[in-house]
Amino acid sequence: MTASPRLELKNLEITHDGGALVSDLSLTLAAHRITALVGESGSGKSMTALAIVGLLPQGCSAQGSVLLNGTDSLLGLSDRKMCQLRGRRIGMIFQEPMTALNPVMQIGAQVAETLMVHRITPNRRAAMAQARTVLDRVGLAQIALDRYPHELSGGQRQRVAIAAAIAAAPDVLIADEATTALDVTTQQGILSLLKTLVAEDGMALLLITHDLAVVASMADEVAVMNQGRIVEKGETKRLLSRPRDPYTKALLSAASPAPKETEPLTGETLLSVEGVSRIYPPKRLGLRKSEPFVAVRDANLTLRRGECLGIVGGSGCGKSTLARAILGLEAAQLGKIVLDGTEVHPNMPLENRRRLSIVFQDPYGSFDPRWRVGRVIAEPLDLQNVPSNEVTSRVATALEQVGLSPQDAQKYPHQFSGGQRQRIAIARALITRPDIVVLDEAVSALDVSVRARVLDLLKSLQQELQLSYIFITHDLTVVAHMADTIAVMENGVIVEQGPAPQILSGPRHPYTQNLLNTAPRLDAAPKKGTVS
Amino acid sequence: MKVQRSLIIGGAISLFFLALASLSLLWVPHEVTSLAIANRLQGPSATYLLGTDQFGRDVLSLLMVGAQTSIAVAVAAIGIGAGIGVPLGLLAAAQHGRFGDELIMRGNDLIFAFPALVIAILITATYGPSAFNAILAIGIFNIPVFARVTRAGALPLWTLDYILAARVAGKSKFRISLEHILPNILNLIIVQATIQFSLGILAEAALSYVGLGAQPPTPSWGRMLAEAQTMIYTHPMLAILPGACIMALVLGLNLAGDGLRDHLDPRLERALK
Repeated sequence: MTASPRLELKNLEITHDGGALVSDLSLTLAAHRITALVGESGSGKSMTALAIVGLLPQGCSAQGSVLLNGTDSLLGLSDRKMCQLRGRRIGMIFQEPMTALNPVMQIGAQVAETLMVHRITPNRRAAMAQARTVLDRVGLAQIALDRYPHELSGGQRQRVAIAAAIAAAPDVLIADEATTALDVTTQQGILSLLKTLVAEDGMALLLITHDLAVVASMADEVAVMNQGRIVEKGETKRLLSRPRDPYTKALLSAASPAPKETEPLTGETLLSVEGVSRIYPPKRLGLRKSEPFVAVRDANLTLRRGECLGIVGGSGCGKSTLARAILGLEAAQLGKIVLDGTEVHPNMPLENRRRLSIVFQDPYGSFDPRWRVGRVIAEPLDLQNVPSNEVTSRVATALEQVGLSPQDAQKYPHQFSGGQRQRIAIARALITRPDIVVLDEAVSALDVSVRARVLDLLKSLQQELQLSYIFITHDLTVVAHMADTIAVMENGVIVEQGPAPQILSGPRHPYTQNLLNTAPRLDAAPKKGTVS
Repeated sequence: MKVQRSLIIGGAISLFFLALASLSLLWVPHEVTSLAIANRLQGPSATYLLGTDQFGRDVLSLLMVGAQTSIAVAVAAIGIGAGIGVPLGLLAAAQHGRFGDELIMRGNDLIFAFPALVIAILITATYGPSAFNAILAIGIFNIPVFARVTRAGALPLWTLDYILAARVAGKSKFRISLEHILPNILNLIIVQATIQFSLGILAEAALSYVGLGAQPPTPSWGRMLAEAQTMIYTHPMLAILPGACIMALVLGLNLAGDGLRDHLDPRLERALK
């Protein structure tokens, strides 16, 4: 079939204060086709999307041409004209389903809003009826129109956002990292929904993502962006199997870290978690009392010296709660956690605190913005009676261990990039010479190429310092690359655990099987997204 | 960084009065305690720049020393309010959801439930009118304001990773409050202090006006207003001048507070980094 171009970008340039954010970008979106725009943070992919809908931040300007349906030029249109196009001809879905919906507006009304603004339906009642039809289409047939966003799950909210975006049957749909904030199983559902909608309605979908694995199963065509330019463009299958550009090649290899070569573990048992349950007391809701909430139920784990234990599960499965108990931040209600013969609890002696440390997910929230890096890294030593000249030398050593320079101790956290900040967080975790480091989604917020380097660093540090890791993540490729043993959690329960190769190649529990099957994979065959 | 225009204007007005008050500690054109009935109710002249009042005192000198009284009362009241309110707010945030938090915040509600000025009048009426009692009365009502602002600013910080990291290091909640929480909400507290400053000036003027603030012979803007009341038709300047001073200083402090809030806004700060 010959696809008619719905949206044509020609030599698009976006500048901010004279500096180019995007240069010489040309891309054609055709009806019935999914085009993916892939790049790491700061590559200019989101700016491109904002330029299309005329919502660039203040101080940015776009040159070049953006043609809708071959004729209407979008650049330089007045805001009033753009308003008539946004939502009507171009729909958009954002990353964060929590903030994309108005929390005090019923979901039916939010979907109907688009229809009424563009006067597609004659009155409110017709708009609501139409909203019902659209919500049925996105798989929310069971959800009443008068529900509020907070009553829905993340995936359901994203479906509402999609319903609002497609309600007016736009020609072009832009999905900016629309599944990044969702669990893998939920993500799979949203992706296949988008695919079905494209097939049925024949709109052109621009899928903006950093995740090449998502692209593999979805897109007909891929454009890879780096530093504001498209470095390679082509059919998905060809691009993923025979990339030409060095950047694309690097991105592909970073996105698929090799599974770990496992050798039998011989180290002594360092930490054991024995029948631990973490129960939150019931909350009082007016006159009623809620049920006590069991975040972790009867968890049993062991960790040897030098071992990396992966804890895998979706959001809210209790993996972070378990980590907090292991760190001795919160007491377990049942069972006990034993570190080298002594019990871990919130009032344990400082010597035991020293042996446990943590690296968090968010490289921006992990540091006091008013502290210099040197003080940040040295903080765990504040209570350890270490002489001040030794503190300085240990900070310098830690910075060198993570590949930064000792001079960096004088800088503030905001002067570093995301990957460098994660290195600082690792330096802080190493400063007390711990035995066990908990990595709580420690690489999830990083771009793939940065992630690959941080993972390499973690591996070499583990070898060098004989560290044990507890690696908490939702990402199976990363866990396959790092972990010796894997525990899979669902609803507070460890449903399956064992050596990594065994879990990854022959999962027994249905949840693990589902997790493995729904994770986007680079080698997934691109199914045809077109319908003739 | 671009400084807000309202901060410059408000800051200039506030600093002008602060300078005037400081100057009055060292030097005034005429002694305010010396009465010279012969010179009463004169118009502006080279000797008396803003004229004299019904007792022959120099109005400019009165205004200068009055500024000193107003500012001293308001600052001391902020000292009481912030000195007790901020630690209470930090404690409540650290105890979030537990009994201590409830106790502190419900105690706050209790103070908030009474009209501030009426209680201030009650205190000064019971223990006798004086500048000290005015400070105490205004200060007590500053406590819940500072406690609330501190708690509201501290609560979101407690969920951040760097606080969790400090707890993993074994630090106590008390120490975390001092090392991490307080420095990061100091801007909120400073802005609130500026606003409470202007409210304190108003409250002091109101108490003095009804005779419950600083006692004669200490000059105060509020009492100058009250004394000029009977002569408002014959010598309107005697009422207008202290009134204008109160208005200008309150306006200046409010402008400075607004400007300071925008200036110290962490979101703005981050955008500029």
